[in-house]
Amino acid sequence: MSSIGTGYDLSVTTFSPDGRVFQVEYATKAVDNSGTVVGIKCKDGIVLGVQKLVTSKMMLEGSNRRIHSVHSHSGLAAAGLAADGRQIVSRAKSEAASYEKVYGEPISVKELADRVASYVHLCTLYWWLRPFGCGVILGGYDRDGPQLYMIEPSGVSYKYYGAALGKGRQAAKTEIEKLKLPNLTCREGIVEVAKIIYGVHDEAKDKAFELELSWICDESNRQHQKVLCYSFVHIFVS
Amino acid sequence: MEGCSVPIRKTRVYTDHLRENLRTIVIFTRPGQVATSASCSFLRGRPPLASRVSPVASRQSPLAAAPLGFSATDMDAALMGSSSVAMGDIPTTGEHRMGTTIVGVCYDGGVVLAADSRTSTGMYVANRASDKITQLTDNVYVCRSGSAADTQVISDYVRYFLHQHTIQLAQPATVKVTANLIRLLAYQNKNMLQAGMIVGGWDKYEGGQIFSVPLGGTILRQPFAIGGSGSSYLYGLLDHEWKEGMSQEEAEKFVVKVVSLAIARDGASGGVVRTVTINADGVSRKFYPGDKLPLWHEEIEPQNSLLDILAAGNPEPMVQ
Repeated sequence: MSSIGTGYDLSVTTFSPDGRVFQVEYATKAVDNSGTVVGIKCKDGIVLGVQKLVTSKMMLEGSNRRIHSVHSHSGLAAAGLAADGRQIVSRAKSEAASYEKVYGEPISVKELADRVASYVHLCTLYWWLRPFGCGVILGGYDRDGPQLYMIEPSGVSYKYYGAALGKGRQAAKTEIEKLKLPNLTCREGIVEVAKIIYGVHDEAKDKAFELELSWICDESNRQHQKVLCYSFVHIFVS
Repeated sequence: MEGCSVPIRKTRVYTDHLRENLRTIVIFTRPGQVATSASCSFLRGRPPLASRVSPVASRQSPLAAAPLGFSATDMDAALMGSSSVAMGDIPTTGEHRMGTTIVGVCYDGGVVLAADSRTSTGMYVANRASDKITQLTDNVYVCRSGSAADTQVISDYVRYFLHQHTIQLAQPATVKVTANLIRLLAYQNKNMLQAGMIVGGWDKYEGGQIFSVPLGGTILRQPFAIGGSGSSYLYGLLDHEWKEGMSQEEAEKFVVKVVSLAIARDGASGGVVRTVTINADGVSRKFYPGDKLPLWHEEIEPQNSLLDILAAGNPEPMVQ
């Protein structure tokens, strides 16, 4: 449902007559054109997966990380402009660190998501700042169990069972809804996320891609860990 | 201050020559007249002057003014800033300190905090029934020792921060967070503060916890903690008598016994024993008056005043 702003879209501090802030909507479009990012909440943890579109055959495998650890207990995957995503990650890391310094205990995932959302929203309030061109899926495992949050460029933050951003998000969401998440362990969840990302990848339109996975679960001792995925290629080729 | 229809001229009296900082106290006088005691009643913390101060004398140093009409009462001495004139070198001025005994113990299911009730300014007991166990949140209390003002201010700040933190978190704050906030204030302002505190409380994640935050700003979680000047006498007793996993009743009796020993031996501790018990069910405060405390070696039973004995009932008439 795209529409042109025609004069009301020049600044993030301008509302249109029908109450929309077009700059924020355009920022969301930047997210929608990027590689897919998927996150699911399994019964014992969180799995995050990113479809990292590889622009050049010269690029080294494993470079240009898209999933970042914010704290030992939480990870963040950004969809959209990669540099904007790194800025959000950096802010999230410093929020987590300063919370722990003041309060003496690790930041809860809810509080972290609130702070990231506040920061993203901040950049939609002033004309001299542009909104972040990336959406963020934040997964963590704290005292209250595993939690998954998604923060959009507008600064809204919701808690999810499963979330997807990027080009293939509609298809990915359909697939996620088919999963029985409360019964899924993270080990099974990893396979499911990999299947979803391979499923939404359009061989004709998109270039080659690299799959990046991570999890936080009881098996990983509630630490955010990168998951290596050599074996998946065999599953799908055969 | 008495009303006057003539213009008032300010006079100054320099007091407190013993301290580094001279404190000036302004006394309003009518020209040619002397200031009365009523005019001095606003002097901070000092009782009204019993005698007069002459405007002339007031321009000289207090000692020089002494022969000119000061009576040698405690009150005058207080105004002069040196009670040594009256009582002979015994300090009764200064900031309020809690030479104290504070104790916190964990038991099976919660914690018990206990403290004596003596607040002294020098050798004068400013408050013999003070409450040194302060509430920070619903489930966390702190025992305060050291400078009364410093610990009150620290408690106020931490209560304020915790209130906001609780709202943000939408659930009660944990004991660890409370203790950390106290520790940050104590450590970052260590040059200016003299505060030894014991934080105790209960939260649903870790149960009952005791954290000790002594002078300097260390933070240490312990199964039991002691603090204040009276605690010196308790190290041996606790090393010998402490055991893990007491019941609530055992723990309450234990802390009362422990604090009463410190009261018996430490001059800066005394009065009553107050305890606060915190567990999953909430908080309960208990009060043990000084004459109901367990007695130690060579202590005698509390005696009623002789006047009470004489007044009670009829003394036997002397019959020939």
